[in-house]
Amino acid sequence: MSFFGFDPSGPPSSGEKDQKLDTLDFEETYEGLGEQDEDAFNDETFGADVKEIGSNFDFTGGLKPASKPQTVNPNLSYAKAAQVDQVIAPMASLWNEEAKTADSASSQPASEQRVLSLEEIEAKLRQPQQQVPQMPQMNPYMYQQQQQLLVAAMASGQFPNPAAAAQALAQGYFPPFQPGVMPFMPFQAQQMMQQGALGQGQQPQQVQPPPAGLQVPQVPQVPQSAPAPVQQQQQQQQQQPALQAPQALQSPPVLNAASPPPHSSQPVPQAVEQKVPASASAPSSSATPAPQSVQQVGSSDATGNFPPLGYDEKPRKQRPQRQNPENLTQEEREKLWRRQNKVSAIIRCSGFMNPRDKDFVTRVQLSQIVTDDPYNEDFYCQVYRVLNSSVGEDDMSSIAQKYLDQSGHRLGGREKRADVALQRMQQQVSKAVTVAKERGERTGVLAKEGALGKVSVGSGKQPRKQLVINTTGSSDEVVVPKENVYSKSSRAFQLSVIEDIYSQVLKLESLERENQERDSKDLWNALRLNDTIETSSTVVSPFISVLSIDKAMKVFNRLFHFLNPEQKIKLMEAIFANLHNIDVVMKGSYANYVNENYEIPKTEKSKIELFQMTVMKTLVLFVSESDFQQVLRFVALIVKGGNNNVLFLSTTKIGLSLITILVSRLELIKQEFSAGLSPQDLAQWQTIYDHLFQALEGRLATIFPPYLSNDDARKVRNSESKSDDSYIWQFLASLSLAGLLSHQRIIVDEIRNEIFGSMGVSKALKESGDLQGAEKHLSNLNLFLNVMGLKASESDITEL
Amino acid sequence: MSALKSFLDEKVKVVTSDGRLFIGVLEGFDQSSNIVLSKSFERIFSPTEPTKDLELGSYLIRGEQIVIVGMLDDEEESQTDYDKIHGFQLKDTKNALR
Amino acid sequence: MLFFSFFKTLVDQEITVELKNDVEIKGTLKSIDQYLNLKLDNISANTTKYPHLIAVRNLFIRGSNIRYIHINPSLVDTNLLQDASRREAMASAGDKIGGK
Repeated sequence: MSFFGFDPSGPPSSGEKDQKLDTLDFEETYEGLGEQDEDAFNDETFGADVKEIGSNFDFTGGLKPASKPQTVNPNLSYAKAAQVDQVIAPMASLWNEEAKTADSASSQPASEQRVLSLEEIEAKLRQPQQQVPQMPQMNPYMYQQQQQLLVAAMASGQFPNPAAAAQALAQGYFPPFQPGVMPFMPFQAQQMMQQGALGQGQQPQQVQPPPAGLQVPQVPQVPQSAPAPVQQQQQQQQQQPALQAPQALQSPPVLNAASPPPHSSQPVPQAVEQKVPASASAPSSSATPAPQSVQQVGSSDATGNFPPLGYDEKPRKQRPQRQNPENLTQEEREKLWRRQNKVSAIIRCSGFMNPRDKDFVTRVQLSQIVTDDPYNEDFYCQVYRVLNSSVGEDDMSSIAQKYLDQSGHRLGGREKRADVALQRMQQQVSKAVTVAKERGERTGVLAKEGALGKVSVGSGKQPRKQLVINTTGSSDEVVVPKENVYSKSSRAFQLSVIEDIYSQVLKLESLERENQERDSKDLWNALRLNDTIETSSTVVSPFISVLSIDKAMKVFNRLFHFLNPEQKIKLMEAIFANLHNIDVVMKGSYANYVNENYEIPKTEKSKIELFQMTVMKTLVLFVSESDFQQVLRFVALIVKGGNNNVLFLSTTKIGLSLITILVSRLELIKQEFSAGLSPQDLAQWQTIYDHLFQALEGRLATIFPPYLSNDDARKVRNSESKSDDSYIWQFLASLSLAGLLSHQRIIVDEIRNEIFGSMGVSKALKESGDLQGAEKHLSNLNLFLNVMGLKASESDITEL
Repeated sequence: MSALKSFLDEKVKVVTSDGRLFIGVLEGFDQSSNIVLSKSFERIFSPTEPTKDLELGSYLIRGEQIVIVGMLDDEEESQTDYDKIHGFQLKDTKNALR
Repeated sequence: MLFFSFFKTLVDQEITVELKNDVEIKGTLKSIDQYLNLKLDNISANTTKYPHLIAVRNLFIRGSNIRYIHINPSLVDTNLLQDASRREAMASAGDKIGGK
């Protein structure tokens, strides 16, 4: 993750990266300090009762750590973590901006600086050291500053004892901190003590590392602070290196068990001993006349001898200014004070974090983000990035491409709101009409008889029985079935049914992305098609009852994809047999809204739209690939299935569209592949068609919703009047196509007013300049008329 | 949090949860966004009186008290005449929605 | 991690952050971490009433002090977000999806 200072461009195992990781390896730099769990002077330093050791440093601000420990894979080292993140492309790209700076900041020092081993430090200590003895001659302010540096340096854990630290400082050497030690923890500790904001017993859990990773030390506590949990005892022993700093401060020369300071370093501890009481007993804010004093952190009692915060990377810069204050005049001394204050203000705390510190912080964070399960925890981002990537489809990972293919996600896209199902239906009907026309021209069977009474060229060449025309019954009477009312509890039940389905779909999708075996049994059971629930008016399966809920519609395509062929057919049959029990179908009928000026409520309209884009799209695709017998069974279920009222269905857009699709599909097969059809098939279709026709005969005009009607006797105008009526003409076209001349005659006769009304509207539109609107009306009308070899203009109907 | 990294050694404005404004150089931070400022001062705006700056020195601010850490554009800052700028005391973050 | 995952997709988009101290800041989201701390670039805020953010262009906001974040709805894939929630809910109910 470039965000954390790693180079996102290289492959995870590139040489540079490995090198970097090596420098971060805790085991290499740690030098086994933590194994010395015996500290003879621990009791002396902190009191005998180790239970008193406080654990009340709360670096999380009293909050629970934001990341749950269990989300961190314990087997994942930080090094691995950094690599894992390379795999997660979205995460890597996220932080690109910081990548360069962080990288250059962290990688260079890592290679230049090296961590001193204990032996090396010791060797240095044994060399005579010239600068250190000067320390006592520093003025008090300088001394204080030096002390801060010293303590900070030791607190950072780099130096085994104050002598080493002081010496290193005096040399201007500032080695990188050892991983595993937070250099500024003591500051926080002090600050928090001062504020009295001591979180009881809270461990900084978020920095608890994996076993093989880094150890973040608990900040040692002084006995006076709050009692600590017993567990602190153990932790304290593990944290030897960190403890050494304060211990060393209190009695520097002898205390350091880890690395006994050699005698040659004596001057340094002495200096510490001499001066510590001065700075510790008097709060340095008062001891220091500096106007902008350091924010004082903790009394000397509470913190041991920690001086105020801050250390300086460049202590030597001050050295040239160092003079013996006693040799100066009062004026010079003041001047010196001012200058030193100014200098110290500038350099105070600067370089507070060296690049390794920064790395440490980022690595701690990284460990919290890293997961062995990115697709559960980062699912949204992973998929979103791919779905919305501007990169071409080729570049899409297979994961998201499959996800995209099956889900309806893109359906919601603003610019893609095309009514897919209806478009397809239109194409199918047009095709069927064209094919019929061509065949008619070839065979000369095209009926040119005077359906409108205008053209009368003789009778049809295929004699069929004359249908008995049922002219009784008012054309506007449509029986509205009772609305299904579910109880509240069953609403909850419905939602749980949907969520069960989603769970199964998500599982199957995951399996599919991983190219594993899938079994649709659980999904099929989740559909509960064999279950029944009773509504106020009927008994339906739960799936039918939930199919009108938005999220069930949205998942339909995705679930359908996973069903096996038999299951698909069973599901389709269940839907067709129960069409009018589907809420969204039923409520789409204008007959429900006689008292509202036939205005279908907005919520219903959007549901219908959603149904068309989701469920119906899937149904249409399936039907367009089904064979004749299968489609015939579907039509039979609609027409003869006990649950359906065909007349009512024909007043709904969804119902009418579905019938259109089925009928036109049958006709298309019949015309294009007639050789493959048996006489029985055709006879069966004829029977079913007769059923269908009889159900509608005499009320065909009612398929025009009044608001779309152009029949002066029926028409009503509302907000929907401008909407597309082509689906009605498509239905009429396919109905005529499948019917005989006699059927066609009846159809034309029943909707004669609509035909002429539509022509009138077209004429009016043309006169008002709306040529496009006029043309649209005519082309819709002609789709139907072409079936019978006729063609309408604004004022006339002629033969094709 | 490591977003703060890019602000290191830069002059920043820090708004705390009690509505105060601190300005200083960001010296360090940790994963709970505790921060250390050097050369810091507090700036106090008033609707009527001139803006006041209180020298503070080095400051450690607890992460949970931090609302905003914003990087200061020195040029724009130096062009601003704070004596003529008036403003209201920021609200603290404890005020529940009315 | 759902929200972290979600907000990562908003990087480089313009959002408006309403803080608990009633200040509203508009800017381009540059980064987000697991605490939902944000970094915004090119910010704009009402500096007339609160001059505190004069001369500040890029800033860090601590997640804990954010009240609302206003997002352009077109940047949110609600269906996908629902699925991501379902996956998390399933995982926390012990019905974890192992694969991608």
